[in-house]
Amino acid sequence: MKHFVLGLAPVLAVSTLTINGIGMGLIFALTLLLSSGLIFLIRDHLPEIIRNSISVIIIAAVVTLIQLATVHYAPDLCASLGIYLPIIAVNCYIYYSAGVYPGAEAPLKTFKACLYIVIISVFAGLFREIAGKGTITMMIAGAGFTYDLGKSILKDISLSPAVVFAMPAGGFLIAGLVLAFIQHIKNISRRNKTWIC
Amino acid sequence: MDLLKITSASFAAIFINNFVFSRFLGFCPFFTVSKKPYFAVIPGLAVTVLMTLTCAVLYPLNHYVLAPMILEKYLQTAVFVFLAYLITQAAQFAMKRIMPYSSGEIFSYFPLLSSNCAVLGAAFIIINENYNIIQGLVFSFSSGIGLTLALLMMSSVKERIDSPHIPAAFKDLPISLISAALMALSMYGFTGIFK
Repeated sequence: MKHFVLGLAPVLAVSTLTINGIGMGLIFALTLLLSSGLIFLIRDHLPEIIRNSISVIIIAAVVTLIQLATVHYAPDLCASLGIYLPIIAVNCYIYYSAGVYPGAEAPLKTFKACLYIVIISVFAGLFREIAGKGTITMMIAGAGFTYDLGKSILKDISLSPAVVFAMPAGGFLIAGLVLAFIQHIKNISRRNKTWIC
Repeated sequence: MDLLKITSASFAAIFINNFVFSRFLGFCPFFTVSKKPYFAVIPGLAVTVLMTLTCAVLYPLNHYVLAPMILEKYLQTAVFVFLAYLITQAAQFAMKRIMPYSSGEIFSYFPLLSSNCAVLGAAFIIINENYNIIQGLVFSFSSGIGLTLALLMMSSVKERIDSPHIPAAFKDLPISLISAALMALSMYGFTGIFK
């Protein structure tokens, strides 16, 4: 759990807009899924001493492919993700060395991790943009819309957005609150002897 | 590049655009740091050396090998990731050889490999912002110092974080994240010192 959250650093860094959060979550999950599948297929045929290096090369190759696809289909998304797109490779490797995907039950574990990544990044992007800017941006490759909540819903009331959520500190805050919520649910389920997550 | 520019650039890299607090790089060492300050400073300085070294290797590689062959778009990520991995791996090996007794204790808290994020991030930032080699070296060195500072801050707060008065839901990682948010807000106060 700890390594899982720490691997989410690029998601927290870029999720100041809704579309960035969604895009980052999908790209991250896709990278994790593809690279874990490839590593899972070939890792038993490799000698022990080069296994980790080959895994790094596979992860880097998958990230390169996805980066080129993003540059082609959504150049504006790629520009706003910036350096955090190639950094995904390192986070995938952190998951790899923390044991999120090698092993017998790897496919199930990886699916679960991908699901969590997408949910957390979509939530973080949506919440940080609504609280920090008062808008919902869904612009990708020049198509889409920007929905201004301040103008359309709160017409007469003048509220200024909480700028702290648009700053990096807001990312830490959101991550801490979401994690506290998850831990609370876990504590309750442990107390009642039921298993939720 | 004169002295004032170097000072302002390094000040910005240490305080204003701190690697942990405003760029979200070097997350793993930051949250798994130990309570003892010594165990925060030594790995931090190791990461600093590593970042400077990686910049010194990857910058010429990008400029004199990848760019003339017009391969930087296609091979940059793969080459950088793999070389940064190799350099950190070699550094870990060297640390084990240099101080065989204490390194086991220091790096049981976090392997040097998990700081790969910061190392690679520095290299990509230098390439993206079109820094020249001196700017790049100053940037990566002072970012490493900033990372060490962040590690030191976290290790001194760690004692309070481990106190038993914290609610069960916030124990361990959530309260560390929230205290990191407060630290990031306080770091924001340095903005605008150098115009």
